[in-house]
Amino acid sequence: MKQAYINALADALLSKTEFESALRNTHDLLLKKGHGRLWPAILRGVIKEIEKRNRQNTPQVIVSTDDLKQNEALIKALKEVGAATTDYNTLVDSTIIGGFIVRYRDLMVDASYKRALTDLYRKIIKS
Amino acid sequence: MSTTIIDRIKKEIEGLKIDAIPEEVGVVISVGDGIAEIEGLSRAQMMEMVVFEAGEGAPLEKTVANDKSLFGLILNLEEDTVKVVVLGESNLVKEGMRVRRTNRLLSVPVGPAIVGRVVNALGEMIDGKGEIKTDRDMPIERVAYGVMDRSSVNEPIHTGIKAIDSMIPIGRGQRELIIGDRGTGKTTIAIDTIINQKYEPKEKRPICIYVAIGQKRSKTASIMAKLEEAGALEYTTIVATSAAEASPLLFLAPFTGVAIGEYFMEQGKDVVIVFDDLSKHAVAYRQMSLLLRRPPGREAYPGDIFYLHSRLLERSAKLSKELGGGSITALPIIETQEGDVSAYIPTNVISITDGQIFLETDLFNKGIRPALNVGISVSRVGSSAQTKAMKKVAGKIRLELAQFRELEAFMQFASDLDEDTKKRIDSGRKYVELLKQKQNNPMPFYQQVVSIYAANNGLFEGTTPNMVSQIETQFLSFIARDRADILTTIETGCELTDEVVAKLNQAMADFREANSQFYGLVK
Repeated sequence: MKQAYINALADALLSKTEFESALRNTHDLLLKKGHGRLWPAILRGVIKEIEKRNRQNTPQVIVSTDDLKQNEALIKALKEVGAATTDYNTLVDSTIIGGFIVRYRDLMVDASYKRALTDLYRKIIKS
Repeated sequence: MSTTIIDRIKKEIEGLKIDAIPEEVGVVISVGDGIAEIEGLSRAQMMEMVVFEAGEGAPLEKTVANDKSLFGLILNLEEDTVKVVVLGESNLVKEGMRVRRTNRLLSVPVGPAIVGRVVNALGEMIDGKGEIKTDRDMPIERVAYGVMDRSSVNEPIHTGIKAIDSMIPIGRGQRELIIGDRGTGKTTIAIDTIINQKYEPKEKRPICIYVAIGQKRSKTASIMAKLEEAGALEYTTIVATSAAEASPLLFLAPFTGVAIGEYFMEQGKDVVIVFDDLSKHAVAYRQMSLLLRRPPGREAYPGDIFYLHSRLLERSAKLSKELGGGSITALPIIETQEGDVSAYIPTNVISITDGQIFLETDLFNKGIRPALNVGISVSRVGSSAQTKAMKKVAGKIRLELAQFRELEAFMQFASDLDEDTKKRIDSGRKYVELLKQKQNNPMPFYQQVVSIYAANNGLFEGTTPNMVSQIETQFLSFIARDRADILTTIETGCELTDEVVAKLNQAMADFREANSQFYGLVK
């Protein structure tokens, strides 16, 4: 039941309904139905839900340094996961050493040097 | 040598190609008690393996230093999430951790080298004897062979225990339950069966698999030592899970065992698999199901507990000739409480299997070991697999023992008994003594045939029941020493021909004459 309130409120807030009225109406409804005690948890849940949806709807590109150069491999990777090739968030993670990681919804393309080197290590150790 | 390694690494680095292949990933949203809830993985399959990205955000050297893949097994597919059991240290799993699909159902690596080794529920060696070379991955969950792929059970599996081989014969491909209270000798029967296989000719010797489910590590170690001492470990694989391991591993262990068994069965070999024990397996499954929030049923077991054991035991089969004729004989063990065979799990497994060997505490305490209750122990398909020789001699025992049990009860009320009744009681007592056997001392079937034939034909007449064991031992060593051809003929022909019978009668007469000190003790 709590999740249903969270989803409904997140939908309302993301569909550009007036922010304050959406919150007030939900709160009133909760009080009317005797579920007022769920309000703080619902608010926390809504924040998480909106963050999740934003994360899911915008592709993330993780690189090792700030100066991201769009290359063929990156464009191909963005296409592979079904994301737009121009609109994405860039995150910097120096531990990946080089290359990039693309994340979009449930999919991920890991073309980082770290992954390649870890795979190589496993291959050598195993054989 | 170091130059070779460096050259090789250089070569590998030169040929290094970064593949940009999309993978499906999810995120851990909660974890506890070995169960992780994962968001994403919308296309994941039931029983698929996933891998937890433990090295995310860590530098390469740390990732490589702690390079041990942490796997999970998908067991619940829900609306927005999947629930995964962690197959390893669940404390390494953290909220927000990424989880990658592997696109492969849980399987176990197998190969001929797995025989003689001790592995865990994931098929990884735990005996410290080095990596096991494998050539195939066998799925842990799999649909059992169909009706047309099977043939009827027609070959015996000798347990080496006189009471079982004579009265409750087990066939290759059969499922025979061993049931009884704790400390009644269930594991001993299973281990003796494994040890007895060393008497089988090499080409017919089955591969044995002992699956320890939630057993004490000390018990598994002592079983391993016993098998090694008896020379039985060379054809045995032990799948060991201890009581200290997580319930999902206990749940997987028998499936791993049967997957290893299927590998050999498909090569036309015979396999004997012992599940020690399915009561603990049911408890582990109950624990896992409750943590996965599956609805509890009777005694809090999940609704599919019957299906769990039936799909496991249904995988033991005798394959048709076209499929190589291999077999898996299953010996599941169930521990009862206070001898109650009508409890939930015992009745389930009794109804799934093709018979049961019931062990009783009272008999055990009376010194009758194996403490087999002949009255309620049965084998539903094994008699057609019994050798002709054994069939010929064993028919009388069951009848004699049944009469003895009736008279034994009657004896408590009546003091004056007629001669015939006294004779029957005496004969029954001698049979009971004959069927007693020491632990880890299985007897080859040809010796059993000789022993039972001798009992049926008056070898113990004129002596007391407490002399039976001694006379039997002496007689068998006399036969092995002076009339070895009798044993060889029975072993090779599996039949009791008129010629062998004549030789046996002669041997008995000669033995009685030479050992008169045993006889004439009863007036």
